[in-house]
Amino acid sequence: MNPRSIWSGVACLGVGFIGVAGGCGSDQVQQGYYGADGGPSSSSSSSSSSSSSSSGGGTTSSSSSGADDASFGEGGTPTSPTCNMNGRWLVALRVLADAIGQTQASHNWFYYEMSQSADQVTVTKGLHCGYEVVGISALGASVDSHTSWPAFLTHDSDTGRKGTMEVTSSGCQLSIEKRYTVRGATVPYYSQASLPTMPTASQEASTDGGGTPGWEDWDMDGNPGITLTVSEGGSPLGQLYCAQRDWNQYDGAVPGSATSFKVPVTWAPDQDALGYNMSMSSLVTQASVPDSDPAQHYVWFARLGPTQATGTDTQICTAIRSLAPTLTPGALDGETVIAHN
Amino acid sequence: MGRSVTRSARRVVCGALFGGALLAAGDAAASPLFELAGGVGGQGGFNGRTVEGGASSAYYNPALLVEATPGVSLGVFVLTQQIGITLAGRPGPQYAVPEGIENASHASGSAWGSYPIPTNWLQYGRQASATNVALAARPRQGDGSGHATFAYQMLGFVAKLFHDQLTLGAYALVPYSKFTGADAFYSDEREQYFTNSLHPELYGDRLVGTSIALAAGVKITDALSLGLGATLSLTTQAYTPTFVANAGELQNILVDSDVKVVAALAPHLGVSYKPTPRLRLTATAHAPEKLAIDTDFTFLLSNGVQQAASADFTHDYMPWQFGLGGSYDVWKAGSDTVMIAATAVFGQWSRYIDRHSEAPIAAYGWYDTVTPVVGARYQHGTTGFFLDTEYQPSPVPLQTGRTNYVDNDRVGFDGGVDYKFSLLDTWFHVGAQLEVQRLVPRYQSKLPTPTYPDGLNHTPALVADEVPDDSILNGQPLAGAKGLQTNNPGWPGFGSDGWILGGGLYLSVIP
Repeated sequence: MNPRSIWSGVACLGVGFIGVAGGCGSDQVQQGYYGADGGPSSSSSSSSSSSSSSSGGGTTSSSSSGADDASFGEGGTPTSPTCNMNGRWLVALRVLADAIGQTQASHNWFYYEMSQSADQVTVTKGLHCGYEVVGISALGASVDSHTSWPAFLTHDSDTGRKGTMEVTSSGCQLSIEKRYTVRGATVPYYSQASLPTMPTASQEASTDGGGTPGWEDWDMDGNPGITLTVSEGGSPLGQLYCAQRDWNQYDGAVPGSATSFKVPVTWAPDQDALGYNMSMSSLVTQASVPDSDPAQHYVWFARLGPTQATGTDTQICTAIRSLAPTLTPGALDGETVIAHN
Repeated sequence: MGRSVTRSARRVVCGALFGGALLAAGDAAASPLFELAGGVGGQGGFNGRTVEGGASSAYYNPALLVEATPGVSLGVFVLTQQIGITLAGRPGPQYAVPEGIENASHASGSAWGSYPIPTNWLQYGRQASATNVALAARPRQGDGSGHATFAYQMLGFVAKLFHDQLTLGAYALVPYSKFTGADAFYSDEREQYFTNSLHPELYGDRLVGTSIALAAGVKITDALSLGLGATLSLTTQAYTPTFVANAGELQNILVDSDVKVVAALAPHLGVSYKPTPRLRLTATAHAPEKLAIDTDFTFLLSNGVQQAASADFTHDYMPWQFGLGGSYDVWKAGSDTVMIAATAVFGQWSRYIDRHSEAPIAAYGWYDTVTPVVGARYQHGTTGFFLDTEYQPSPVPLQTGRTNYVDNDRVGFDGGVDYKFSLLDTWFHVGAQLEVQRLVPRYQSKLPTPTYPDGLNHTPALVADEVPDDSILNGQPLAGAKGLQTNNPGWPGFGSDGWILGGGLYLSVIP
């Protein structure tokens, strides 16, 4: 609690104490859409005046969808224009994992719309566009998850993720809070702070009103969780059905006014094998751990131009995957560049 | 030996009595107000489970009643809540429930589970037309309930019996505005039919209930005392048989009523043990409490068709609470004493039941909590001061799915002064207290809701798609049905924060 908020709160309470609640911590509704015929409108109301309501009307936006580029505002005012995260970003995460002596690189792609006010950063729209795993060492396995990419987009989100972008003597410092991502299981339950144990093969989520958490068939292929296609040295090994939970956190120095930059990442995976249809299953179902070299874990941010990665969420993600090798080649240092559509 | 046997027997009887009373706990009514406000009158404050607080010990720890000064207390306490809720803007028109869906159905021809109100009608209302009457607007968060001020009459009573071996106590906070208030609301998209707003889950009407505690404390030895008490309130059962002469003219229905109001008790007990003159250890247990309202309806139509329905409400739910505490006189000199006190209260909030008697969905199950309280007391002659602080973690997980339980972590400070004086050969206590509590800002964005061509809800924990993707109207696919359409007032996200301020004055008369 900073002193300013305390004093404003005390003043607010003093007003409330004598029975006049108007304007004190009043309820608010941010600008939004209420139907095909209505433009965006906002309202601010409090319980002391139940007649208050939406201002209504407003000009019709040039945007037909909250999902497309034109609907994204300019955000807030950063402390310094050289440390400004307002805008649209391609985010390419690259981490290195070790399992049974083998090394694999995981590439995750995200689309972020970010808003910054002073030092505070918020992801106002955060799309999960998919990931792949590439074998680095000789016997490292590669993983193709593309059949689950639409499900990642519809189930997972980084919207609302918070962070800071602070001015430093040498430039800026970006910190993005720790966030869990759950795949193939009931997201709200398994991403809770208490970190419930991931489901076993017998724990399928119920789809009745009870909402009992468990694994979910995200790619609707009749197999539990998400289906990963595993290969080694170009030779297919088979399919792995699993539920995953991992977390990551970004924190590092950023050059001033950079439109493309790299930030160190800390992360950890948690995967439950729910089944498989493959050879060498004992190998590929083993849990992996982050490589001990912290320099191998990083995320690249690349600012998007106004015409890049626009349209529906699906179109945005298709563009993000396609643009990643071009806009964030550093996320593929030393690795084979694969075209994704 | 005989004295020892008598004391042992007394302990066994007391233990059996207290254990039996707790096991027999039934539906009773609630004291969330007691828990929020802390002890009013005396030096209990937020540490009332550990520090004797006059008549208020009848609720917090009846074992401490044996330390209380007998007498009658009167006081006034005022509490204001200023809780703001901010709803994120709806990001696009494609998420709105379209108009003209009254006759839509699944592709199979089966009706939807329920039919939402077109979003535009909710927000702006509907003008009267040749075929429809006007519909008033219910704009999002236009009827919130986070701002209110309440005033209470505090009543306290402490009496000593059997050479101070037994102490009886009564403690009540009675709202001036109304004896008891209970406002039910849904915490998901169903609230669109009513206020279309979010409401603080653990405040509001939970602070408008007459809270009465009765208790007895028994002095087992000079160091050990036990206490048993109960909170008292009401359980309501209402039966309303209704005759509907014409379903098109519901204003002409005939209704009888059969209402029963039953007093109910929820027990609590406490133990106080002083291993040394300066050290006190305490333990308490409070049984679950709730104000239950059971409502049954029957509808009789003139064609002889009769149907029945029921709705159960649970207000003011408080879970099992267990407290452990300790106090220590760190400094004593003459008539001056400085005491520090600490209490930890475990609350089994994972068993929470909301106002519509529904438990939170499993994927968003509430947490059990531990609330730490620390504070100090300074007694200087006939004047005493106290200051407590507590941190109440929210039992509510981030509401990223269908439900919108609004709650925040809370940090509170409670301070007061008590002065004892004599007038016309009668002793009095007069005192004042002030508390400030901050609801730490919190924000949550809703997770995306996957929708499926079969029109079924495969993710019941997430925001519900109220217009199924397989919908048809007049044999054709319903326009605007693909993807998520919802009137959930908490979608696509919401935040909350606030302040609670309380203050009061009291006077105690010692006979």
